Amino acid sequence: MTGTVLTEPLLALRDLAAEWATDLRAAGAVLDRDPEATAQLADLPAVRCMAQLLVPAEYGAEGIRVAGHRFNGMTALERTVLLEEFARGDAGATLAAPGASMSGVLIDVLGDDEQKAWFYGRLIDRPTWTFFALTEPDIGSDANALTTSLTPGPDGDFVLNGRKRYVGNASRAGMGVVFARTAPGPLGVRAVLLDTASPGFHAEPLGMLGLRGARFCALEFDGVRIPANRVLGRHLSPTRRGMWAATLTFNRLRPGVAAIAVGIARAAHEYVRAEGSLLTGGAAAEWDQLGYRIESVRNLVQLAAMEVDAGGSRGGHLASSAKAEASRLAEDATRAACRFFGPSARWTHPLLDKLIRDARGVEFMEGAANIQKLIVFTGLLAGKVGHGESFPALNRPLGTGGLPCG
Amino acid sequence: MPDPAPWQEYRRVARKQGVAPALKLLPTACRDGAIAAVPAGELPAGTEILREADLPGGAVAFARGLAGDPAGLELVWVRLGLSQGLLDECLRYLGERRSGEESLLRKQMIQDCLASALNGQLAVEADLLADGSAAPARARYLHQCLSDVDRKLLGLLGAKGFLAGGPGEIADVSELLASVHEMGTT
Repeated sequence: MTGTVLTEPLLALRDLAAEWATDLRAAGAVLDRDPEATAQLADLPAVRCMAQLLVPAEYGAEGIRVAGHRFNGMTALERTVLLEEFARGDAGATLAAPGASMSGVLIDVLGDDEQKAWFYGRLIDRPTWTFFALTEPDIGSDANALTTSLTPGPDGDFVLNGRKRYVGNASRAGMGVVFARTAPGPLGVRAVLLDTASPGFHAEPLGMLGLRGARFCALEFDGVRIPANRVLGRHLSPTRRGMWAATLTFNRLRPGVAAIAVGIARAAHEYVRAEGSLLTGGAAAEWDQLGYRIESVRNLVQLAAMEVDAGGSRGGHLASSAKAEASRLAEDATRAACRFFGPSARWTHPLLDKLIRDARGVEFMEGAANIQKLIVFTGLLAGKVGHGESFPALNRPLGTGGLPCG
Repeated sequence: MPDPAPWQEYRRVARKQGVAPALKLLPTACRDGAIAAVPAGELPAGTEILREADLPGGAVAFARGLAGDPAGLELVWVRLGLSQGLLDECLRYLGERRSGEESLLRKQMIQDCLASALNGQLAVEADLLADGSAAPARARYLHQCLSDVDRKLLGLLGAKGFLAGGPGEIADVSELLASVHEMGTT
């Protein structure tokens, strides 16, 4: 790697993550064949890291201590550093890890003290999978149109009914968050914490082309009882607890998904690079250009993460730009790697066959490229991006992530 | 990580004022016999002009042996600004054009094209901010990215992008600047 926006502590975090990621590749290949084979993950350092990521230190998480800093994955920038390296090892195994994951970002945004103590407490107690359920079979991830209902029960609690789809890790999760509607309109959207032991919850794994370790599921909620104290955002104003929180959560998550795409692209690029004797002349120059593109997209992803961490509305649009560019990169790089080895590539190079399938998975996660580009365009028209300096957070002493520790 | 302040100025001037004012800001070098570009008013008398373009902000001339050959990534910053100026022009033009009852900016194919162009510009800017190394192959990659973005944007302007002195010629001069730079590094 050449120039970077990362500070020394983050570079140390990156190097440590790269070291941990080496174990993920073999685990990922096993999960690709058998997504239920998660027992092999338990002792992998990258998985142990993921299991406590997004749990704040004040709730008992040790975090990752490196270069005099402690990282708990609370910033988007930290997560991009970790996720790129882990995905370079294996994206499917990374997504198969237990931990707060997407739910953790929402809990950070919407949870009150009691809810955070319950959620984080379970994660600290033992490695626990979580899920994040927004997408529905008929309306996709359009939160404005969601139909899963949350209705008041007779005892002050609530009742959840509906269906969700493409929800990662749900069949193995101990808890998760679910978006549902209490009333028509954007203010009628709420999120709840759900214990998967609750009667009426059902998760059915879906067969997927790639990222099989992530165990995407279809969910059904058939009269699931939700205690009133598990409704998120109850301490916030109505405008800050539904759609607003969903948007903020996706803004914070998107750079991480983009980083996974960069990791997949790197894996493909490096796989071909390892065949150095075959890379000569024009092919070598073409491969160098792909390397520059990977560096460029990584820098975009990390700078977008810094803008997300700095707050404000610019970061979301930049995160969409980064996600669109990174997912396209992952698809282009994996396809280029296969072209390098010719038509038999996917039959004779199992890693490339897996990478090209995994790359297709990150294209749809957090919104497909077409959606991301619409968000970018909205930002352009509104003057949020594409005007003036694009990454002002770089000039502020913010966004490096991590805390000094002794 | 380099200090971006001077480079951002190259970008801003190129975007707002055009090619010639931006070229005036750049540090230059002279190579015997090499082609370079300068504001046309700075041409020594008797210089044989290879190409002259009368553009907003002032005419620009390409000739041999001029002290006007910008090296390194400064030129990429200038070209990024020119590309951003082209995006501004596309937004203005498309905002005024209508198809049926609605602005062309409401067409999703147009929106996709503009967003893709902006994504390309953002990736170049991010890379320039993060990494100041001016390896020829890397500079070539970044120039190629900007040329791709410009070509995409020019497709939105139709015949207007083919008029001399307009945004299409600015993009053409921008491509020539990149080629001149590449000729000096290969």
